[in-house]
Amino acid sequence: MLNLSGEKKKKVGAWLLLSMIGMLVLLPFAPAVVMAAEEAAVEEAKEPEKAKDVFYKEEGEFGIVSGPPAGELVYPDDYGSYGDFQSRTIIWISNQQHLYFGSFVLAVPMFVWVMELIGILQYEKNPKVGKKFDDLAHEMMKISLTAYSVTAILGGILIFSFLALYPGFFRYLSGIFKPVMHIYALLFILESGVLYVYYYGWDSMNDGNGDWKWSHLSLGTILNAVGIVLMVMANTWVSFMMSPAGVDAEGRFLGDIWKVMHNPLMVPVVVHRILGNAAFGGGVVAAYASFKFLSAKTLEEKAHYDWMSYIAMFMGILALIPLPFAGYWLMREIYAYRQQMGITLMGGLLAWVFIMQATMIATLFITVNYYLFQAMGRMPGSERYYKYFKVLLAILVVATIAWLTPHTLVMTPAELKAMGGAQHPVVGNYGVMSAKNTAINTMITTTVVSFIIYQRSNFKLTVPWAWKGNIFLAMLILGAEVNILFLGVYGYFIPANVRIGLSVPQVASTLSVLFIGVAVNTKMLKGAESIGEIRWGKMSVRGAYALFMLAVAFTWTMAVMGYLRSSVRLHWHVNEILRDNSPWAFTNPLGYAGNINSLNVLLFWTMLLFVFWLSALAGAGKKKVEAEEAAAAAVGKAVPAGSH
Amino acid sequence: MSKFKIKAFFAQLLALILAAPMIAWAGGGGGPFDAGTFSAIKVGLVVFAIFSAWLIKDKMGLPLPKLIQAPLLWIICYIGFRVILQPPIPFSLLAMYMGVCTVCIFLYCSLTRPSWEEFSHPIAVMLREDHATAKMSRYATFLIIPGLIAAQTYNQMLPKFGEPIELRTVHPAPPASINVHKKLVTLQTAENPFRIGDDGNYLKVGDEQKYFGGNAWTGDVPKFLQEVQQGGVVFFGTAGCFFCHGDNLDGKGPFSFAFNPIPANFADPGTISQLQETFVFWRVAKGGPDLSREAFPWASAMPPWEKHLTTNEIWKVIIFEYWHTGFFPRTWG
Amino acid sequence: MAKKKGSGVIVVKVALWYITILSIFAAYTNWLPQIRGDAPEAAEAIDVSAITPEGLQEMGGMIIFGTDDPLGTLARGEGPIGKGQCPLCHRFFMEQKADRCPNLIALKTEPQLLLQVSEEERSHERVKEPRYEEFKKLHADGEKNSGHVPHAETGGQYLIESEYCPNCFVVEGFGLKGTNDTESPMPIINKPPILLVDTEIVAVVSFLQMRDDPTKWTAKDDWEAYFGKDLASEGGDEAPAEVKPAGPPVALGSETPEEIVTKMTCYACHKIPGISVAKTGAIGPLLIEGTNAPNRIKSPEYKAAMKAGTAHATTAREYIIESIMDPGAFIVPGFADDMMKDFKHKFTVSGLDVLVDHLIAQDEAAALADGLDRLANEKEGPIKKPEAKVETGEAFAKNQSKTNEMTIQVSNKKLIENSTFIGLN
Repeated sequence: MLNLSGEKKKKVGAWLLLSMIGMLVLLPFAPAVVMAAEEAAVEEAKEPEKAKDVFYKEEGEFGIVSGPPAGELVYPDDYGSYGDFQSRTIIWISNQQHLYFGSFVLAVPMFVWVMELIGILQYEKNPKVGKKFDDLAHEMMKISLTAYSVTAILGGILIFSFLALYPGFFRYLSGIFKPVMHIYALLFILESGVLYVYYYGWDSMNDGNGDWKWSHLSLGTILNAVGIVLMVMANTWVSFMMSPAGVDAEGRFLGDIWKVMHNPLMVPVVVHRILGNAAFGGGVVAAYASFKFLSAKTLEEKAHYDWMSYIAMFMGILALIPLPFAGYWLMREIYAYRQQMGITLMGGLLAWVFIMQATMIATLFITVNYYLFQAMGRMPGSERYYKYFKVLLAILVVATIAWLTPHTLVMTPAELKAMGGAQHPVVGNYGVMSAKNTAINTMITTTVVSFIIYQRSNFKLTVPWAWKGNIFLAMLILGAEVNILFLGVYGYFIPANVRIGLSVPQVASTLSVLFIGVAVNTKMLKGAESIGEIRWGKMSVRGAYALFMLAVAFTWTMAVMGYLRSSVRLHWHVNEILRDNSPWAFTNPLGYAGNINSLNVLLFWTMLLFVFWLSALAGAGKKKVEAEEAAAAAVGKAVPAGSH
Repeated sequence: MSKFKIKAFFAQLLALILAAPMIAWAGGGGGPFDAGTFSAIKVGLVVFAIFSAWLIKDKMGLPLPKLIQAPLLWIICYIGFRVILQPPIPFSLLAMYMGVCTVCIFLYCSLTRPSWEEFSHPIAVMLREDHATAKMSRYATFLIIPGLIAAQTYNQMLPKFGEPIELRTVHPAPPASINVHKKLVTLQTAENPFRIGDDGNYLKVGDEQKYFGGNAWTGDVPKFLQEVQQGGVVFFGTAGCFFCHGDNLDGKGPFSFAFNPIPANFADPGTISQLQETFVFWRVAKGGPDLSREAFPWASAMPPWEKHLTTNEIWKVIIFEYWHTGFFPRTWG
Repeated sequence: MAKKKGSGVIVVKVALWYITILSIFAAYTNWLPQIRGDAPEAAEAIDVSAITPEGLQEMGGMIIFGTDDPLGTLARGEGPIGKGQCPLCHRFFMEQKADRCPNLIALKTEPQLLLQVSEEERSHERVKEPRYEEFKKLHADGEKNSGHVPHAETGGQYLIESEYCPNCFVVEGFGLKGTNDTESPMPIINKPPILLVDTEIVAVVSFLQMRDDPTKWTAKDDWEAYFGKDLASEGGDEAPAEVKPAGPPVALGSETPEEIVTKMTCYACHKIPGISVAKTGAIGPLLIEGTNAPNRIKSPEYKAAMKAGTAHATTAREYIIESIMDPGAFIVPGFADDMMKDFKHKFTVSGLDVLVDHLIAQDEAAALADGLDRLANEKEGPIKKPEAKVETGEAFAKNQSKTNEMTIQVSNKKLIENSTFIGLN
């Protein structure tokens, strides 16, 4: 397609392309400028009415009223419905599906970008390895492209559902966010443009590690940047619903859209979401690779997908490890925003949902460890470490039990009496924050230890200071764990505000094991004698199924946490501003949510599995290149129709 | 396998089997020992059991097949949670724990390729092979499993007359504000007016530690301890909280056994130390009748003390409760 | 072909695995406790601009009676008394005994009485009385307790004013004895212990106005005209801010007798030595129970009551407790059965002890020291009598005649007040 020759021409072309895309990035802001000017004109025209912001109390106490009040929605005038079926459930499902695919297409370019970068960097040293990573990135991008069109279609369905079922609410929200929504739509076009250039230009721009390749990587950067901006924008709508700002007590817009977007929970929710998306994307790609691994017929193919699933899982876990801490931060912000909201989540109405979330997190960590143990089956020499597996597993079980013990127990009155109180004298101690922090840090530390073992399982250490290093590692891990335990116990004897501070050194212990431990271990492996090459493709089937489990657990956790975040508004569309007056203003019980979540996850994976299966079908019999072209052509047709 | 080893194996097995009822008996609270000795015995038995298992398995070279290890482990876990752990935990928690154990025991059996083969080989043999033993066990299995399911179903369908399971949200979300004695108390921001340091200023949570363990009832005490003292008067006098919540604030007052659910145990780290002072204020002032909807079934005999105590007395008794138990109220600052 | 089949089998296997996991998760959520969080009923906004006159009338009724069925409560022999405590002194129904303050009987609910004027109509008359002008002059610098200057122009404004400032106009014959109808026995309604907020006062006035004729509602406008500000814009800047923690309306052992008397509003009717607020009560007997109680239980009237089975006290202490807890057990001769019957719900045991301890310690000497004396209708006669005779017989005679005059005047006024309806026994 592009047929430029000579270094200079390549460079000029690359820069031209980049600057064009840079201008495209600016494009969506044009309407904002126009709108701002219009608003300014309107402001001058009439005497502005001022009102108090619901959140920004100190700075700029008063804003100029520039929107209608939220008012009171009336059922059935402001709501649509299909008979007695919960309209909310329809919104719920379409929203969740859109979100799944949206997060997936947001997360995959992040991986692809990292993979491509690794590929470029490795190219110099070992073109073969570089190529391997580059192909991996390309293949991931291919999955993402199909998902991209599905995302757009689901987005359309979501908007139609809103218009049909919640017109009153949507009118209010779009009234406030209208400039943002337009920019959002325009950015979406930009995202599509960049995505196509990025994907279709992959082969033609691939010159190993030359300027074209770097330009291509820059395209990936832009793609990710636009993607994140898109996500942040959509996110502000949701966090506005949870913790409105920039409006007065009646819900009248006060003229400053930034204050509306920068509402109290926006930043922590965004951070939490990005990390969550990354972990989720890793899980999905790992599942894809596992699927291909299982259905592969040749050892070569098996080896490739075994490796791919490992890389994807690894990336997912990298994002997973900081996730609890981001969640913790979000929770703190929620408490700071409304204590009532915090207690509804953690100790009140929704406390049992947190038990479910805890279950999911425990499942994730146990699964990751189990996968690593299974993955060691393909490492010659790992037999030396088999005896430690059960110890690690035992530690995980103990931590899981502490982690899962709820603060409020379900029991009959007789059991209550037998126990002598609502809290059990022994396991009741596991119901509180100190124990939870200790448990989760222990679980993460154990996972790191598993990984350290994984790293060295097919090597014999040759560095002269190996024994010193081993002692250091043992001391580090043991010291960190003792510190975590000590701080956990100590936490029972100090005030809550100090106790919250304890989580910092606990996390620091965990992270030091993660970073220092892995770094030292890697250093020790320098020049180590290999017992045997990793036998990629020889992983047990159980490992592949563990990865499916991981992916489902990620997806389900997302669903349940989304339910939680949405439910905590209780009977409000926009917290304390716009009341939900439909018959479905109640908060569904956990079981119903669990059913819908499982349905959502099933729906999502059915669609994905179908896509995977298609690609497996296409791969069979035909030449690889041809298949790719066919798939690409099909995708190319589908996307423009869906993106509007 | 030498005769000695077999003997030792059975000896250990016998010891294990004997240990279970002993543990049950000890856990049940009978016998001539005090509570401390019980715990020591229990811990000793657990250590003995683990030691025995280690002796049998590793030292004597008598590895139990994984297929036997798994149910054995499961039974040990069950005994541990059901019998050794005292007082008994509710069924819901037991089910949760056993669920975790079941999954993890399965993972344990499938951790590595050799152990998975060891675990699954007999099953495969049972399912596939054509000789008599395999056939017999196959038939037995296909009789036992549906039988178990049938028994379980029967058990479930059987009408039962047990008490219904009661779910209480012990600490429901408080309202944003309450009206006590015609004054609005915003729970998010309100502060205990008697949390006063020596300098007369507000005493930050945590700083009261220096007063812990002191005697509030001697003549000349700091301002904070004076408030504690007056709170104590409310606790033991005016309001008579101790009738239910106990002299040691452990929820074991003389009337406590008449209530269901029993009164809150302030000495437990799961109660007042998990709550803000304003939350406690809400509970004391409004009592059971003002529990929110989510606190269904509103089972609380706590009276609304605002009808009998002044606002100040409520704040003081809260100070006293924290001081006496040595806990600190939760803060989010 | 084989390959295709292979990947298809994998799809089925993986799908089964997914369904298994998801079923377990869903089953687990269904096994966990289910709580459905219902949305609360849409909160009734106490926004005065939004609330209807009927709503205010209903609210006023609740404040006055504490129930929406006051007649039913009366029929059960209980007093329908809400937090406004109005029916203690004002008569709203024929079945009710209360004549300390002007009656507020409705025309509509008691048509058989053929009442000539309704409270709403009468209120308009009050501001036109020449006496109202006198009160204006008297309180030109502001009434001493509430700080208000009488300036009501309409009947509705008058009703509002009477609640914020009962002394701004005292209906003839209903003033405290000895004040020549310049001081009202009524407490200031927006101050403790009644402590109604502005909206509630408007609600009470709405109730009075609309009871007979729902078209006569002007309460909110009257309030705004009277105070010259918006009702809604004003929160509680007057009322709750200056309130010392008054505590609940229950007498506690931790309180002083003075606090209990204030809380229970004993002072409205009784004079009690040693209690600074209880110097003017002129409806019940002087409470010098160190002297009175032992005499009373020995009195033939009490013996008769014991025989009748209503009274049971054998000691002075028991007598006092009985009188508070069950006022109807024995009525001191010369008095009516007017005392509130709900004290048995308002005292803790220790609180009662505190009050009884105080009352039993009071005797004639204490009364003299505080400058208090018996009422004219007390059989025992004034404590000061002998000394008064010795000192200035003339002054006493004058005093006495004035008291008598007052008593006659009062009964006349009551007669006039009550004779506005025919058929009264």
